[in-house]
Amino acid sequence: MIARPHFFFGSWSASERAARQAKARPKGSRTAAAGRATLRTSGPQPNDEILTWRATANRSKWVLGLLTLGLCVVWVKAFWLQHVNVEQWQKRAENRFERVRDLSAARGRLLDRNGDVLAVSISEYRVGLVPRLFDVGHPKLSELAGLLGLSTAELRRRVQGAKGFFYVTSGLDLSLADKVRGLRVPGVELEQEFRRYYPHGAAFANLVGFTDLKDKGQEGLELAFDTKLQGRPGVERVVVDRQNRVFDKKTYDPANPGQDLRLSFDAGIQSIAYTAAQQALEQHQAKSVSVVVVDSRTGEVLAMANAPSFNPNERARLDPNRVRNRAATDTFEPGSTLKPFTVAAALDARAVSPSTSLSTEPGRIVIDGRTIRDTKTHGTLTVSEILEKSSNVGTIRVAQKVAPDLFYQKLRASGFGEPTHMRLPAEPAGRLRPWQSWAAVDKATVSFGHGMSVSLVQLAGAYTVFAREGDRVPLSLYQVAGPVVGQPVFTPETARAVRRMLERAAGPEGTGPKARIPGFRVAGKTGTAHKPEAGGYAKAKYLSSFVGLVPADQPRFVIAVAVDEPAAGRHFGGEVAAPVFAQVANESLRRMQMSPDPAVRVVPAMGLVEEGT
Amino acid sequence: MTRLVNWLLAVALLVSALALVNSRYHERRLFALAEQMERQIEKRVTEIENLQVAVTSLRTPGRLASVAKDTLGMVPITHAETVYAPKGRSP
Repeated sequence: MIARPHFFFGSWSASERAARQAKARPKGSRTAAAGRATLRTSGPQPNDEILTWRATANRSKWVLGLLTLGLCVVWVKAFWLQHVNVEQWQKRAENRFERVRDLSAARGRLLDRNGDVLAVSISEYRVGLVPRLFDVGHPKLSELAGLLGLSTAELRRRVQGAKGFFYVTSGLDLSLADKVRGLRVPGVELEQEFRRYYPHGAAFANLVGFTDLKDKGQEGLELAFDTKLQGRPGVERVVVDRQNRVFDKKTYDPANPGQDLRLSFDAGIQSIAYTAAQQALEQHQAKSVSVVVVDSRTGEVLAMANAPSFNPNERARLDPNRVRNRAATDTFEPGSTLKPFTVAAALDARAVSPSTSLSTEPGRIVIDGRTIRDTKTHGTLTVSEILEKSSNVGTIRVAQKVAPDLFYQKLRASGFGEPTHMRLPAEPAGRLRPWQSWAAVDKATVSFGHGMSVSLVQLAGAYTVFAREGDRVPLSLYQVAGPVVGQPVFTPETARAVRRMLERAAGPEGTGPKARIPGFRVAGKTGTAHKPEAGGYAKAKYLSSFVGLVPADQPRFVIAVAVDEPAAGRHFGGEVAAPVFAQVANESLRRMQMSPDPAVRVVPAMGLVEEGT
Repeated sequence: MTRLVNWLLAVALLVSALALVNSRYHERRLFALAEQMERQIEKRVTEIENLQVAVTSLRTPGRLASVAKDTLGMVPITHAETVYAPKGRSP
């Protein structure tokens, strides 16, 4: 009757039946019991239930053993995973669920003294395609192509032609990038990138310089301050789920954006200087025009403009002639603009006084067999008039009264022959041979600014000596607070005397009357130098310059102008460079709201005044 | 007595386990939310920066000068038109 029980359930069915029978017996009818008894006697064995239990007891031991064994296997495996080869397993798990995200760091901004932005990094997006994952039959293909600015056919062609990952386009702004991301087309990847933008365009271009594709400074201030401007990219490890959604952050190393740099420049004055330089370049058909404006009270460089310039925001083709910051990198023979230093050295040594008379007859002088001429014969001049008329012969005669070592030392103290400490890239020292190697003619030529070379920035820096009380402040690209005490070069009396002479030089009888501006006293010196060529000086190539101080009674700005190879007929510094100076000085003073007399202020004649009074 | 304590402990265990699951769920949900917010902040900051740059490039001195001259017909002040008022007196 009882078939061979199921391997597992046999014992259960047997005991169950026994229990049921035990319950049924007292209640059950006799016939049923007798019937059952007869049935039972015809069954196999009377004690077969116990036998069955015994048989299953053995089997259940096996089962228990197997289960325990299974559990042990699990334990061993768990032990293996948790205590042996932990790192490897952990790494596997991390690879599956962790992602490393690079956090890009923006390059610092360059600001002018008023906080105007000169250079800024704009965050943009670059779109890359993985052709393996990209389906050209995707229903949103045309929409994607539209966002990327391509035709559908073009996009399809480029994907099919590509071997591996490639960038389709770059320069997407944030909202466009969000739209592309929103399409959720597989195989499309967005990467953040930074583009450098220069709001002031050409006016600051060759001063500020530019960066390369990797955001590293290549020229100008971008190169000079590269380490400070550069940011440090960060990195974070995040945990993602199966749909690549981030749900936890493991480590976080934030990106450090580059430092913002606030510089000494004034965008307004720079713009004035650049406009003036650009106009002069066109008017005189010059090779280049450079203007430097320095605040003589602090040594801050307010403007450094060069024409021709370039558009820093579109620089597919860069002409190296436009890129160079000529005011700082190019040197030239200063010519007559150096004469005030010769005179100052003589005054300082008490070798002459401003009223000492010297003969410049007959308008030329021969030293070591070389003849040096004046443009015209001036006769007998006082030292003051020598500077006013810019007489070469007179300057040589003044220089002859000064010992060469003292003269050399004064020139060095004024900053010639060494680079300024502004750390602009490619800044030259300029040429100034030591006095020990001077022949008599060398001292004579140096005295009127030949046989040596300077950069325009050096020249502007040196003139701060006359704008101040004879002391020189180092030029600075950073803002400088408060009055600065400089290194004394000349005595205050000498500086004041030279300033008066420079004022006469810019006066109606001097060489630079065109430097005058209405309402202010101007002091300055013209310079016209033949450009040196191989084996001598070029006949018709000039470098015209003007360096001046305004207002002469209370100097505030030193403005230096250099016009390289003016080719439109005129070439004298007083004709070519002085008007540029006047334009820059006039507009800068107006911008600064400066008035000739500190006790009054400037207001336009029309409008406000008439309404109020 | 012990039975009751055991029961209570079992219930407490169950509740705390459920609470743990619940808090893990909320943690992740809030994290995703925070992440989203952060991205939004980033986006707005970038937008502000871009707008500032746009304003800066619109008010460069060079552009202002040309607009004043060409569009508004303004001219530079000459010396003859300038009046100097003593300080302190309202003009």
